[in-house]
Amino acid sequence: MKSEVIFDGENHKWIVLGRDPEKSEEVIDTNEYIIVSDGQACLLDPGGIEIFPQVLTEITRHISTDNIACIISSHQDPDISSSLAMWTDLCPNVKVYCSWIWTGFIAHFGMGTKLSLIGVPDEGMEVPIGNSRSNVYLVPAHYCHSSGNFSVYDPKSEILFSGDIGAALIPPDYPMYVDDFDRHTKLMEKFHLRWMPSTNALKNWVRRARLINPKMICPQHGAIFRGENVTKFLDWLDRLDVGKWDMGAEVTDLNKTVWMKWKKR
Amino acid sequence: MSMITNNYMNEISKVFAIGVDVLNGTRSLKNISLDLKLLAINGIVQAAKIGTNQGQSLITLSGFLSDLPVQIAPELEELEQVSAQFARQLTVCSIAVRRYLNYSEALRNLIARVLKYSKTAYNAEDFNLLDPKVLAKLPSHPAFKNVTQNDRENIIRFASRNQKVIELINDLLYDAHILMNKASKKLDSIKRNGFIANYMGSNILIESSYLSSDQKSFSGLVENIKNIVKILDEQLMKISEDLSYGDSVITTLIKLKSK
Repeated sequence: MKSEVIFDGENHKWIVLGRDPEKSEEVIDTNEYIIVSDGQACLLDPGGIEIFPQVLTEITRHISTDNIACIISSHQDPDISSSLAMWTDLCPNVKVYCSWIWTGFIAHFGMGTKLSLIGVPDEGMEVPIGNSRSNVYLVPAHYCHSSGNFSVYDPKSEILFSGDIGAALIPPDYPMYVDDFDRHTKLMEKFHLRWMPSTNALKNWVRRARLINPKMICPQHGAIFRGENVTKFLDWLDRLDVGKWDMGAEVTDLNKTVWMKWKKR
Repeated sequence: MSMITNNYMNEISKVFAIGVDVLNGTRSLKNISLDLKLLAINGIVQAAKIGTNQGQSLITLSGFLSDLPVQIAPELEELEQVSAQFARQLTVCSIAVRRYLNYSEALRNLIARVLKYSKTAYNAEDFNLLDPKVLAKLPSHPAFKNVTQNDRENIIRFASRNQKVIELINDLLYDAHILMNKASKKLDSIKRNGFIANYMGSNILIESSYLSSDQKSFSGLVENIKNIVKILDEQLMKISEDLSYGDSVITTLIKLKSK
């Protein structure tokens, strides 16, 4: 697994982990982010159980795991939450945040451990990074794609972590930052058309993101948007019409012959 | 994953499969026992039709046979309970093993990385991360004398977590071992009844061979009883073999950690 510092300010760092060459092909590639502020760390979307050892090992290059103060799960998907029990076991004092609607569901990933989560209210909240002087803000991103979903904004670095918004299904060794935006849209389009259920929710999120005006947008899959690509990305999202399964009656209607065959069984 | 850890995982998977097999086998015994009872009752009815002294002795023998399933019912019930506990214990154990594999892989990667920059003669394979004693002494091992403060803290934390999980697995395996012994004892008691059933079946067969040719329809029934008793024997033998194999694997697993 590779890691790269994407922001290095005064006692305040962002590190991205990803592009794991050791992971099996069946496992979707994910980006994990760590904010290290005054020696305290916040982990964003820590990844699934399949890549837990790699993520943990890579993190040790940057921090002592004693200093992981909080973990934020943007939503409930297994590529984000299935490792949470491993983290809370390793760091018993860590605070784990996720949408209030998913706390009881994510607890099923407990693997024999009681998984206590802090339920984030729909309107979002401010989260302190341990006892550092930094706070991050959980920005509502409901229905983008999950019905209980948050983005994370860090005012010190002006980075917005967007979860699955801006995700792209990329080949191995794809650059960490988007370089050719038009080419990159081809890798994002299918993902957004299928995974994002609501155009209205997406437009609302774009409005919030424009107001925040981040310098970087960091998705959980794919590549990071920075500079002019941030605006290009928000404009592209604003034009998307998602939440449709418009494949023609042949696909969307249940085939009567097939249905009758099932029924007879 | 190191060879020793990989081997450990394979052995644990085997024990887990044995737990499921024992539980399924025990449940199938109930059905066999019910079949035996139905056949024995049928035997009583058939023998009653014969109306001779031979018929009377066959009624008595079939009566004994029909009592056996009733006698072993509580034993079967207990065996099923113990087997279910055993299977559950192994499931909990396999979840703990899954945790251990993740933590130990992270620890091994961390050790490999720090040994690389420390330029020592040691390598990651020199440390048996299945042994709680090795894990307890790991942070003070001379190989890690020159590691950074961050890495030292991480080694301490990872080693401590691995140690706790491996000790938990150890406890779970010991408990599973106790349950396995309990199941074996119950099985022995059921086996004794299996021998009696077999003996009764043989007696019925011998007795029925004296029947005149017009009463030969009884022999089909006896054949069925013999078949059921044979299936019961085979099933008991299979569970017994599973338990014995499980016992050897668990013993190996417990020993493996201290190698």
